[in-house]
Amino acid sequence: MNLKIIIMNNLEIHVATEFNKALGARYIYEGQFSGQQFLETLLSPRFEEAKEKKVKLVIYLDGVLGYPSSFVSGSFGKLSMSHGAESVLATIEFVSSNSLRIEKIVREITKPIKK
Amino acid sequence: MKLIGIIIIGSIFCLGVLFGFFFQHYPYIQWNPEIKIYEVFQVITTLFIALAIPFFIKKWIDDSRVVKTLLNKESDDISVEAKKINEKFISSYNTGNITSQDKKFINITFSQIENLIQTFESSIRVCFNNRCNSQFQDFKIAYLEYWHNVTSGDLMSDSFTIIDENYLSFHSEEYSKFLQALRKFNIFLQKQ
Repeated sequence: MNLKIIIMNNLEIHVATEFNKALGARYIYEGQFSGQQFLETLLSPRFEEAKEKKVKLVIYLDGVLGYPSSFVSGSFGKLSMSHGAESVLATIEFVSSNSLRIEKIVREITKPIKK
Repeated sequence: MKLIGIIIIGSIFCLGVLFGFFFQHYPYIQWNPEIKIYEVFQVITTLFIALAIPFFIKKWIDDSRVVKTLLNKESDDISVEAKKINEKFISSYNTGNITSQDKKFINITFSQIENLIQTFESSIRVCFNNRCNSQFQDFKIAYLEYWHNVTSGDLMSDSFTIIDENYLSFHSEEYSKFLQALRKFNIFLQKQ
């Protein structure tokens, strides 16, 4: 009997290289590289894919010039509002050399601001 | 380390035995029966305190002062970075507009503050273990609120190009709250 072992690789997002180093505002109409743009083009599709494949979505946060709260709210906050904080935190894993950077995003996921 | 401890204790014991022997057999030293044992104890204690102050207590005080000076320096670095954000808003108010470069600068500076806070936290852990955890958490929350309140509104929007009196005064208030939290934590550190 042949046994096939399938190793499911985690999915990744490198914000600085796949999206942009300078992040923008909350909504697309407010300018380039907004949270909404990130959500629609990268975050949401990869999140859905990760959930479907039952793997983790690893997001690399470093290399960016800074995370404005409006961007975090327009991307991670909105994802949390549509899928629930528990499901988002169970699927996404953050990687950064600075724990405070992760903390502020997790804070937004657990308490998303409706705006 | 254990061996050194055993050697020290052994040496003290041997010195005590030698001293007792010397005291008993040396003809010029005689115990005055009028002297009470607690008086001897009092003299020894006074001598110990006189020796301990310069050798140990002064060293503890100096060490603690050095640690606090270093932590103070780290806290000053955070305050200097935060000041840059405040100055950027003041200069944008004076010139009448805020550019995308200014916004980038503000984001980079916030990022820099986060790096400094992380280093500060590590130093505090090394110096005080977990004794300052709750107070440091309060300070971190104050930072997150400052960052959130400043960058969550319209600031990052392309149409936000003017810093008016209202925004300047709003920022000034948020900046003061953050500095207050930093100072409060510093006072707490000085009391440790």
